[in-house]
Amino acid sequence: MRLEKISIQINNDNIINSLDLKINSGEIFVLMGPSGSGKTTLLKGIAGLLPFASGKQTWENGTGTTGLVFQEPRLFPHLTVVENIAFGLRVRGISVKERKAMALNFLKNLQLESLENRYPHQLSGGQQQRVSLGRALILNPDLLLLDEPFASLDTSLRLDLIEWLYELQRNLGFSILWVTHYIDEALSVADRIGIILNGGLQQIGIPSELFQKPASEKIAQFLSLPNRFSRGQWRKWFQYELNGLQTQDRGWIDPKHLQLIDEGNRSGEGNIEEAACIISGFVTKVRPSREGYSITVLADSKSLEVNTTGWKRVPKLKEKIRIRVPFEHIHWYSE
Amino acid sequence: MVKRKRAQRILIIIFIILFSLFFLLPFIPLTVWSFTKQWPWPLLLPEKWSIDSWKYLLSASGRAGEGIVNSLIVAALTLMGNLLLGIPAARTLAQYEFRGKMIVFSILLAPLFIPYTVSIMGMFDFAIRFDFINDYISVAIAHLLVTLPYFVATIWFQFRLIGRKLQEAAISLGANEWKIFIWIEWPLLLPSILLGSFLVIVISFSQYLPTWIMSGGTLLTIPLIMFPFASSGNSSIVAAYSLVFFVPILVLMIMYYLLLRINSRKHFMDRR
Repeated sequence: MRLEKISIQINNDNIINSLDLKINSGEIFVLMGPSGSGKTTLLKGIAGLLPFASGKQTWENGTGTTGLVFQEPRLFPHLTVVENIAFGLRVRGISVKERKAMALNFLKNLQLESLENRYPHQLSGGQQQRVSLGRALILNPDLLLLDEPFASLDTSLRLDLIEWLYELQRNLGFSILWVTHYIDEALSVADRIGIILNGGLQQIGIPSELFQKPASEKIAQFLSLPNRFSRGQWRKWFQYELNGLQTQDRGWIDPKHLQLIDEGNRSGEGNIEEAACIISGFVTKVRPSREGYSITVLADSKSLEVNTTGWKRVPKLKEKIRIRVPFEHIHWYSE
Repeated sequence: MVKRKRAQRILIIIFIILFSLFFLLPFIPLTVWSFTKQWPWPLLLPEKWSIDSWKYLLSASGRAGEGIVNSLIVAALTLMGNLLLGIPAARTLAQYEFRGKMIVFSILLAPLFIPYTVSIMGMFDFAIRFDFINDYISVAIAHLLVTLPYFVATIWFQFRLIGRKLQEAAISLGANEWKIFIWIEWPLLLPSILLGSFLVIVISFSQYLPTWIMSGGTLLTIPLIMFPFASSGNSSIVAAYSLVFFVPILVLMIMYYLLLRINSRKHFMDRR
């Protein structure tokens, strides 16, 4: 599916501005953006729930269909599981017998066998969302639109359902436009990720590209990239002119690449190669993490996040500490 | 614990008895009055019993059958008008935003707030101008004005509860407006529609002035038959008519609960 110069207005306000997007066949495209950026509006526009003010939507094979799954299951409360799943088939005029057989057959894919006669209020949140997905998928849409479908579920159930849907998509081969605000969810399923800000797509790329080279500080901020500083600040810490493009005036480094230097054992300092610097600071926050500790260090009035693995002792608050920063792990991007 | 539960049970039974008496007590003197011509204070029961009122009521000149049939026809027409106008109006008011929405809502509910005499004068003018319209229809139009606010308010609330989310889900599955209404909204609205219809029929049954004005007193519904006896102080006949008048309402009430039960069993039965 391809969108060309799409604009959508609600109450005369431009929510989506001249947006271009192409979703490839069999691809999972994850759309991320802050609240109010126009993600849901775009999905509703593609699904035909909102009209386009301008622009056009085209399909590779001339015509195409979409299925939309909302954040909440929105099941019809007076219909059973099987009737809910078969609703779209009923709309298409398929006979009762045929649509019931199709829906019952589809229950296996949804892992909802033996629940066909239950009503929505008799299902758990995860089961309800699976019915909602089944209701859209049974129509064989060319593009499945997911509007944060698992956001209201608890973490373990959310992860299970993501895995389940990912496997289902890889088996059946449909395309997905998946809206989420969970970075872990995006990284675990996305073939490509798009960032939408103020009604426009600001950057599209494969996940690693997006994190390594954010197109702007706004995107870096939205992705919550840690240890983001200006080239000037990095130069101050490294105390020499830095290589690289001058237009890339900001850089970030992953906390796991920063190393704490134990004051009691300075042996590590001797191994510092040329392309690294040492920053001194004070510990302001210590939080345990799965790997070790996540430590916030204040240096030159800037906060640095450091992740440790196997740190022998727990750093104390206000403790003076030294951090080794390897230059090669800094990712540069433009403001 | 057992004692507490027992006390609770006794309290519930007492409450049910008192509640039932509240509804049933008025029917006791009504029944007694229908079988006597005189029941002076402070006698507990009348000295003489008579079935004259019932004889009159069941005779050709009593016209009770005609009254009930006319009342039912007018109520049915009024209900049809309410269904045709009330459901789309309630849906629009509950689910769509547009300029002047509050004004439209106020106009629809106006008969609840405008003094009855003002409405009646308006109806009188209408009756003169549209004298050529069939009596049943003109009376039903008058009853529609009186009943529409109650019907709209009942349905509007249910439409608000349903919201637009299910509509959006159905549209995304390819359903058009009509299919959404028939397959999704109607079944969910049914309890409210039953309640609203019950209210409409009961209110229509008890209208005297609008019926009299619109038909010029020629369409005899039960209130029109009863009124002369009530104003002449014939308590016995009024009591007999009141009891007859209550029969269709009782039947409707039973039908309402039966339909409600069938609907809830059909759609929300726990099959676990």
